[in-house]
Amino acid sequence: MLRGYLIRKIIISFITLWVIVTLNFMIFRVLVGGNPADLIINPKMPKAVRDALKSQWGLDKPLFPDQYLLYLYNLFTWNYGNQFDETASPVAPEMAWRLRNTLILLGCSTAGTIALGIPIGMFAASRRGRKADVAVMGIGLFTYGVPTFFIQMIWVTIFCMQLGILPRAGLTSLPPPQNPLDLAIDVLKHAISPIVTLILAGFGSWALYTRNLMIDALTEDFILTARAKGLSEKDVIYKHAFKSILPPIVTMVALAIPGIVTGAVITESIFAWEGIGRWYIQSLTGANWPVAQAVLYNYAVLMVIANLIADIAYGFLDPRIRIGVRR
Amino acid sequence: MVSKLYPSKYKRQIYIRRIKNFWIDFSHNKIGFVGVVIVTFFILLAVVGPLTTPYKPMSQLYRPPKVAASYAAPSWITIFPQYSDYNPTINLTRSLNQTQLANQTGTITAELQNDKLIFSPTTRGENASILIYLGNITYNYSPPPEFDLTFRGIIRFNGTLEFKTKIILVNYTTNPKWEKYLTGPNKIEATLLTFSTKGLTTNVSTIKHNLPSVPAFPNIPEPAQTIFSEKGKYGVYVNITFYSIDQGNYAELTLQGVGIVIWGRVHGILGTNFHGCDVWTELVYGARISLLVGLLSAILATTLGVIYGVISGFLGGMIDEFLMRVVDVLLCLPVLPILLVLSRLYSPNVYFIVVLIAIFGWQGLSRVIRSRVLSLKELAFIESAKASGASESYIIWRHLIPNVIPIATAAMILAIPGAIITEASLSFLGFGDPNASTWGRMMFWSRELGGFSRGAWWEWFVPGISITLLCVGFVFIGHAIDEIVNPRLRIRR
Repeated sequence: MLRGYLIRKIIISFITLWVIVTLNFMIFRVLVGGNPADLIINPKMPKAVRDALKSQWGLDKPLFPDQYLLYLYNLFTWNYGNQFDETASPVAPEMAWRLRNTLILLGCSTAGTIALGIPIGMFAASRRGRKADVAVMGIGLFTYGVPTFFIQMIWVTIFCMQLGILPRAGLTSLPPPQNPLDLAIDVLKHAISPIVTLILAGFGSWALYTRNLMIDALTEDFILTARAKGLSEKDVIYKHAFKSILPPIVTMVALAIPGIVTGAVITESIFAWEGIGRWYIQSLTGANWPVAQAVLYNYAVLMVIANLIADIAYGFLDPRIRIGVRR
Repeated sequence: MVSKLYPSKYKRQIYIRRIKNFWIDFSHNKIGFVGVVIVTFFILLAVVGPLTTPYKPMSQLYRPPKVAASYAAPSWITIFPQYSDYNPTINLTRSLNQTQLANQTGTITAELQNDKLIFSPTTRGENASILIYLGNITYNYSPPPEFDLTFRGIIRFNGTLEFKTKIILVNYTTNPKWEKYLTGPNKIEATLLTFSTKGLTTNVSTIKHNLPSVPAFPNIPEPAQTIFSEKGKYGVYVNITFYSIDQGNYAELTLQGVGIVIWGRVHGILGTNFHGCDVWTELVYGARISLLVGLLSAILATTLGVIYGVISGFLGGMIDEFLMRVVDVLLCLPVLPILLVLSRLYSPNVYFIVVLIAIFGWQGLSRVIRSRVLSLKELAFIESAKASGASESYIIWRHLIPNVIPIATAAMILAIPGAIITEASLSFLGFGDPNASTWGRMMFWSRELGGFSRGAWWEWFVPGISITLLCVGFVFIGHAIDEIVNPRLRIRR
C-alpha cells in the first residue's frame, strides 16, 4: 500500500515538474512575443559564445518540438545558458552557490518556525479559552495579516539602525574575514536578522493552525478513552493527541512552502542576502533573462521536492496509508 | 416543478431569519466586532479620504506639486519640544496687483491692477528699472532646509531687448552671517531671471522659472541655512530692469507670480516624500487600491474555487481525480515569482494583477468545497431531489451551492488579506502597476530613494501599519464567520 502511494506521488511530482517547465517555456518563449532568441542570446556576447548558445538551445530550429525538447533537456541537466553581462559567464555555477545560500536561509527559518510554532500552539490548546490561548490566537491572527517586509523594516530600524548591534545587509562583511572562525561568526551575525524575522513572521500562523488541530483532536473518542484510563494530561496531549495531528501538520508544511518562498524573495532583497530570490529580482529589473528562467525553474523544483518530502512523510506518519486501510 | 413546493414568501422569511440568526451570533463575537470596526475605518478612509486632499497621487505619468521640502515631517510633531521650531512652508509669491511700488526710473509704466509692466523706450540704449515691495516674512523657526525663487509671467515684446529680475532680501535686524555677502545696507540679492529677446517681430513668451536656493546664491555656502539663520523679520523686494538696444522697441510683462517659497520641514498630516509631495494623499488613494485589489481578487478566486470544487465533487470518479490532481499541480507553482515575471513582461494595470492573483488563489478553497460537496451528496435531501426528478444543474444551483456558501464566505474574507499582501509585495519589490500609487509602492520608494534610511517613518511605517491593520481586520471578521459557520470550531456555550 505504502509503495503504491509513494509511486503515485513520485509520478505526480514528475508531472508537476513537467507542467512547470512547460509553463516556463511558454512564459519565456511563446508569451513574450518578439524574437525568443533575444531571451537567450545577448548581442553583446562574443561570437563564439553566441554560436554555442544557438546550437545548445536549437534556436535555428522550429519552436516545437526541437526547441521545446532541447529546453527540457537543458534545464534538467543544469545547462542554464550564459548571463547577459560583459563576461557572459555561465549561469549554473553561480546558481549552485546562490542556491546554497537560499537553502541555508529557508532551512533555518522553516525549522525555527516549526520548532517555535507547534509547541506554542499545543500549549495554547491545552489552555483553551484562557489568557494564554487568547494571546496565541491574537498573535496568530495578527501575523496572518502582517506583511513580512514590514516586520523586517521595523527590525532593521530597531536593531540595525537605532541600536546598531546587527549588520544591516549582505552575506558577510566587506572584505570578509580571513580566519575561518571569524568568518563563521561573521556569516552568523549577518544571518540572524533574515532568519529571525522570517520566524517572527511565520510562527504565529503555525501556532494557530496547531492549536485548532489540537482542539479538534482533543474532542475525539480515543482521547476520552485515554483520559478514562487515568493517563496524565501531559501524556494525553503529547503522546496521544499530538500523534494524531502529525499528518495534517506535515500537509501544512507542504502548503506553507509557497509562503516561505515568497518570504524568501522579499527577505533576500531587503537584507541583500545573495540567494536566488535577490538574483531573480535583479535579473528581472536588469533584463538578465537566462538567470530569470533558471531561477524560476529552480523555485519550481524546490517546491516540487518539498511537496514530495511532505507527501512521503505523510505516508509514513498516517497509519491508514502505512498499513493500508482504505479510507 | 420542485421549486413550487415552497411559496416564495415563505422562502424569503427563511432567508431573513437565517441572516438575522447569523447577525446575532456575529455581534456576540468580540474579535469579529473589532474586525468590522477596523475595516469600516479603512473603507471610510478610502471613500472620504480623497476629499480631504486637493492633490492627486503620484504615478509614472504624473507628479503632484511640491508642497514642502524633501521628507518633511508631519506637522503635528511640532507639539514635541525638540521639533517645535520646525518651519512650515512659507510662500511669499505675489502677482503684481498684490504688491506695492517702491521705486521706479525710466520709461516704464506699471499697471498694478492688471499685473502689467509696460516698457516703451524712446531713445537707443535706454534703461528702465522698477522696484516692487512684495511683503514681509516673519521667520520664527530654525533655519529651513531649502527655498526656491519663482517667477511666472507672460511677456509680449517687439525688437531686441533684455530684462532682468532680481530678488532682494532685507534683514531688519542685523545678522552677522550676512556681512560677507551684503550688496547694500542689510540686504542681499540674487538674480532670478535674465531674459533677452532677439529679432524685430512681435512675439509672446510664457515664462515659468524656478530657481532653487543653491544656484541662486552661488557664493553663499548652504544659502538657506545662512540667509535664514536668525529668527526675525525679512523684507522681500523684486527689482526688474529693462534694457533696450534700439528705440521703438516695446515690451509688456504680465507678472502672475514672483517671490520666494521657503519649503517646510513639516507639512500636513503625514509629511512629504522624496519629491516633497504630500504623503497623506498617497495613503488615502492607496487605501482605495488595496481594498479594490483585495475584494475583487478574493471574490473572483472564491467564485472560481466554488465552481471548480462543486463540479469536481458532484461529478466524482475519474473526472474528480483528474481535477484534483490539476489542483495539486497548481498548488506547487511558485506564485510570487510567476507573478513577478508576468508583471515584468507585461507591465500590467491593477485589474490585470487582480486577475493574476485570483488565478493563483482558488486552488486551496476548491479542495475544501469539493470535500464538503462529497459529504453533502450522501445526504437524504439530495437523494430525494434526485428521486423527484431534479436535473443535475438544479441540484447544483439550488442545493449544493447554497449549502457551501457559508464556508465560501468565510474563505473569501480570509482570502482578502492574502490578496492585499500579494499586491503589496509586488509593489514593494518595484513591480506591479506603475501608474497606481499603492501602499506597497510607497514603501518601495521609501527604500529606493533613501527615506527609510533617513528615518522618514511616515512614508513606510504608516502604509505598512495600514496594510497590517486592514488585513488583520479582515482576518478577524473571517475568523468570526468561520467560528459561526464551521461547527467544529464552534465553542459550546
